[in-house]
Amino acid sequence: MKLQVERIGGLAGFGGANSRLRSRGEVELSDLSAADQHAIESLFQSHGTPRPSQMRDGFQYRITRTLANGLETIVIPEEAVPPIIRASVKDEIV
Amino acid sequence: MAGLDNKMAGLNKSLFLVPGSPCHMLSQATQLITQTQFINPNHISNNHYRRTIMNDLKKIMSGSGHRCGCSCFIIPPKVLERLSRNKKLSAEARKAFARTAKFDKEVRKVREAKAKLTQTALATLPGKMAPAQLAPAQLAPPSTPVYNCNHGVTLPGTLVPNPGSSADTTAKRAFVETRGVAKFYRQAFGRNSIDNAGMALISSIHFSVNYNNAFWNGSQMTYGDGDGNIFVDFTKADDVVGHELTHGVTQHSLGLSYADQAGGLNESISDVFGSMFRQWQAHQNVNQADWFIGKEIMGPGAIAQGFTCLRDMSNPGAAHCLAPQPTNFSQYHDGMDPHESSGIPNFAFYKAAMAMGGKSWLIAGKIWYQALTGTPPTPKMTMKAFANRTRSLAASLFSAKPAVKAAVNNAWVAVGL
Repeated sequence: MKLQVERIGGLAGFGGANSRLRSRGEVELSDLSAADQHAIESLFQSHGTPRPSQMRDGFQYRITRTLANGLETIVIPEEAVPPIIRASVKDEIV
Repeated sequence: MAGLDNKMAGLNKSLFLVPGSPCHMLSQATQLITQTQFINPNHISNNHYRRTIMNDLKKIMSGSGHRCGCSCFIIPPKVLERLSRNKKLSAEARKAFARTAKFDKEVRKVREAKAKLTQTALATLPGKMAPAQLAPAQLAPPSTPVYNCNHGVTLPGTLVPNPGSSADTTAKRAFVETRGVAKFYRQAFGRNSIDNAGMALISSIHFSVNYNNAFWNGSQMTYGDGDGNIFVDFTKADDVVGHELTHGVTQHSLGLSYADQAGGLNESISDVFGSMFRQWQAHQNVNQADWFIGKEIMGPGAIAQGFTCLRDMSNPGAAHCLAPQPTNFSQYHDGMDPHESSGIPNFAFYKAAMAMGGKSWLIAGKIWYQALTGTPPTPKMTMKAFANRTRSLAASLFSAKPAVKAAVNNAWVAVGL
């Protein structure tokens, strides 16, 4: 199963409706370590519920997976994202 | 109170040796606590906790294939608890997750207690955290340490000795510009640092690799070097430095949240004061200013495509912006990224300042500053409420100048508020 990953927000407003900045990537779930797969599964199970935070201009990650009944997406702060997922995105001007 | 004191003292005994007001001590506690968003061993001075947690994290990382070469680690508490019960992990790893979850819970309790205490202090202490009744010249400048992350993601990183004379131009810039922002707030508004109580202004540079961002994490600024194509070193733009530090000012004043209308206001206030700082440094009047945000961090790849800034306060929807914004409240909807919706109040500030003329921080800036700092925290403030507050302040602060009130009113009407 592939995970679609998009990094959004930040000072520059990546991924906004009119923004010219995009940061996207994808990761094959089976390429992740067992612990990272567990961490991702847990994040989906907790629906990416964010902790109260004073972080401002921080990046968030929108992670989407395909299930039998459709797509499931969570949005989580950068600090909670496993490094291998963080490293999967590439910044570009579109 | 005693319980809270004990918890804080247990985390860092030196906190209560810092001379200054109770509010200053609170701000120091905030720094310690919020920095655990990226758990940092240097800021957990209780040796037992520090050793235990870091050993746990190292074990977890080594067992999970986590290889980022850093000691950052943050996992939502529910996930930690779930992992602590996961039979597929070793007993040792499960124990480590359980201990980390317990620590995380305790830190959160202290943070919540701190937030409650801050609100109480704001409401009850004499002067309401306003030692700025002193003349600006009497205020000692806050310390402005600079740390080097060396391309890792550990915060704050390694302390840079004498950053003002460092051979690392990024360190020197972060130091100089941060001092500049402190001086701007002191001279233009009589404010003593972010918390108006002399809080240290901590900067971390060279964060991560090719990192296209700068952020405020609740207690410090952090700057990436950019990827060298879309963006260059984020310390190169003085308005970016002013923007990030102003998030701290907002946190310690109106306490705006980061979603919906309040989120847009939060971002706008950072752009407004970041832009005013840039104009103040360059001794520019409103006509000389370009009103761009982030002009100096545009990389060659962005410039080659005709982009000149992140945002343009004078023309938020312009095509030369990397992130064009709406200009009228009719375009607003809940759920918008704050970096988009901020275009509406940004445009209002620009219009008000242009109508008044002269230096933006002398009249329009004073009104916006008073709207930001003059009343108790209002995390869910709407744009309309903020607009009305500036209308009221324009009338009361500049009662002898009716044109000021008209300028503010017309500016908000022009953006649909």
